[in-house]
Amino acid sequence: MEIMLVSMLSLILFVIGLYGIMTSNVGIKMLISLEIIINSAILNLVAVAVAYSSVDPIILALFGIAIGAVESVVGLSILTATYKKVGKIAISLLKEIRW
Amino acid sequence: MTAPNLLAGPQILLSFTPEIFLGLVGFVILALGVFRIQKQVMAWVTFGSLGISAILVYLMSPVDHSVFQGTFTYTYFGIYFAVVMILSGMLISYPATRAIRSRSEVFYATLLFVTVGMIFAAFSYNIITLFIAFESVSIGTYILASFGKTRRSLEGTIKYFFTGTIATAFILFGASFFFIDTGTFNLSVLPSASPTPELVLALTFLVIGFGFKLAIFPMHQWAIDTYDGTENSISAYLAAGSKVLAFLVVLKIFLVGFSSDFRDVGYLFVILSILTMTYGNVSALSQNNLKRLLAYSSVAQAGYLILVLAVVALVGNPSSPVVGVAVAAGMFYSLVYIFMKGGSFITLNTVKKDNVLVSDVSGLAKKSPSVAVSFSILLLALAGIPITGGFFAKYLLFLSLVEGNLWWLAVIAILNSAISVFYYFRVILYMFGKEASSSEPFDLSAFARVPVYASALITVALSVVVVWWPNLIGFAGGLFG
Repeated sequence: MEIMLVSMLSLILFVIGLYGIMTSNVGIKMLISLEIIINSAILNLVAVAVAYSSVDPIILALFGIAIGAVESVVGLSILTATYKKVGKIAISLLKEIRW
Repeated sequence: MTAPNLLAGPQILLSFTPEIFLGLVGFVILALGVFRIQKQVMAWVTFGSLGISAILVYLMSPVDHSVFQGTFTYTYFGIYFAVVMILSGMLISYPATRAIRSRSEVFYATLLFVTVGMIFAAFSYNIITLFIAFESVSIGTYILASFGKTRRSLEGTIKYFFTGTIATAFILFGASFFFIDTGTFNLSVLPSASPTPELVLALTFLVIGFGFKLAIFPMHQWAIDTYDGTENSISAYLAAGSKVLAFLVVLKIFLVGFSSDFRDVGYLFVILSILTMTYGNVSALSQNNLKRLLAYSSVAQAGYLILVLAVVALVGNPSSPVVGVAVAAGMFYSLVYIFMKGGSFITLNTVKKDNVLVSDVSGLAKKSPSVAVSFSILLLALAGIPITGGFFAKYLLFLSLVEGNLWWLAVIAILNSAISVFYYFRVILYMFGKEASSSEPFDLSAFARVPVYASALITVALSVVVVWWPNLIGFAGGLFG
């Protein structure tokens, strides 16, 4: 079944993105990994839409693309604020919250 | 569970009046930013328009009707939750002025847009609209969380942003597997069927995705750091409004969408709620940071909220009376929860420091007995001590557990609230028993005190509202459309 293959591909992309977020220290790299994660979910939605010949998942995919774009805008602005405060976009420099 | 009537023509537009109103006011506030209006004025405009929208939600919602083939279904259940979430916005709109340095119009417009998303989520019964409403709230709260003065708030925002967006991807994935199994995004009570592998995948992804927002046990760590890092009033909003929204969405998706295999979902939520309650309460015991203590206690409260899902799913039959009692208990709990949790975070505004330790509230009773008593009432409500609304919320929740023949789960929950009494009382002891450490530790202006009095008063008053308990049980049936 093709849908299984596409689902496998998108799951692999998902894991790659998660790995990128967990290991990287640079904010921009984390944002790109985030885009990979969201796009892998969108890929899966489109595959489902094609396999079941329905438009509903495509509608959700379109909204997912829009929301992904908004999220990267918000993320970039948060990282800009980080740069202004810290001088670098290294996430590991932010370590003031302790228990 | 009668089939709702479909609306047509201009009636559809009328049913969206509260959302349109709030959106317009949001844009007006953004435009007003040009004139450099004081942030206090903005706060009152926001407060008033949220109040008007709560009345509009009540007046303009065509009850027992639906629009767009059942995508939005108007029930008293939805109205109740919409009003509860609007109240959480009203609670923080004035105290938040402390957090804002500049650009107050962006803060208040975002707060209004977030509330629009919350009202949409309260009425929608379709994964597409629920997802959009949920995400508009999430993105709005990322912006709200970044309104802070310190590096700490920035750190909390970054943690919130990255975990939140990962959760978004999980939800999208779960939605696609949900579609493979059911062939639709509409949430409706389905006939029983054996679970397929796709449905299990969908369940896993959706539980992880929404679990992040609800901050249940394995997905809770961001919440502790974010509530600790962000400004007090914004932590209150994240812990109260945003969490009640996540609870509402979880109720809809798992009880209505996954109705075909109720029992398996039920066991999952039993395990999750036991772990969440126990972890939250035990970790709060050893906290010296008051904000982290409250954050851990809100993780524990999420565990109590999930008990509703566990009992409804394990009872199985949506038309059984126990389900009505359990859902109504969840509804009452979330109303009380907004005031007791939001109120106790807002109380921290009376301490001048940003990073509030438990020892920082020592001597509060000497400086201002009324604030100390109000804060004690809020903490006692969180612990579930009688004469507060928190007692009745917990009592009704545990009653529904016993009625659903889950007395062992009730025992675990009661043991957990017994543990929680220890750390709440430690804070109260510091307030009443110890001397203040520095000379001017407290900010006792009316701005800091009035929200505390208001939320303590409402928390006590809500124990009287319990007389409307039969009405709540009547509303609870609206969950199933």
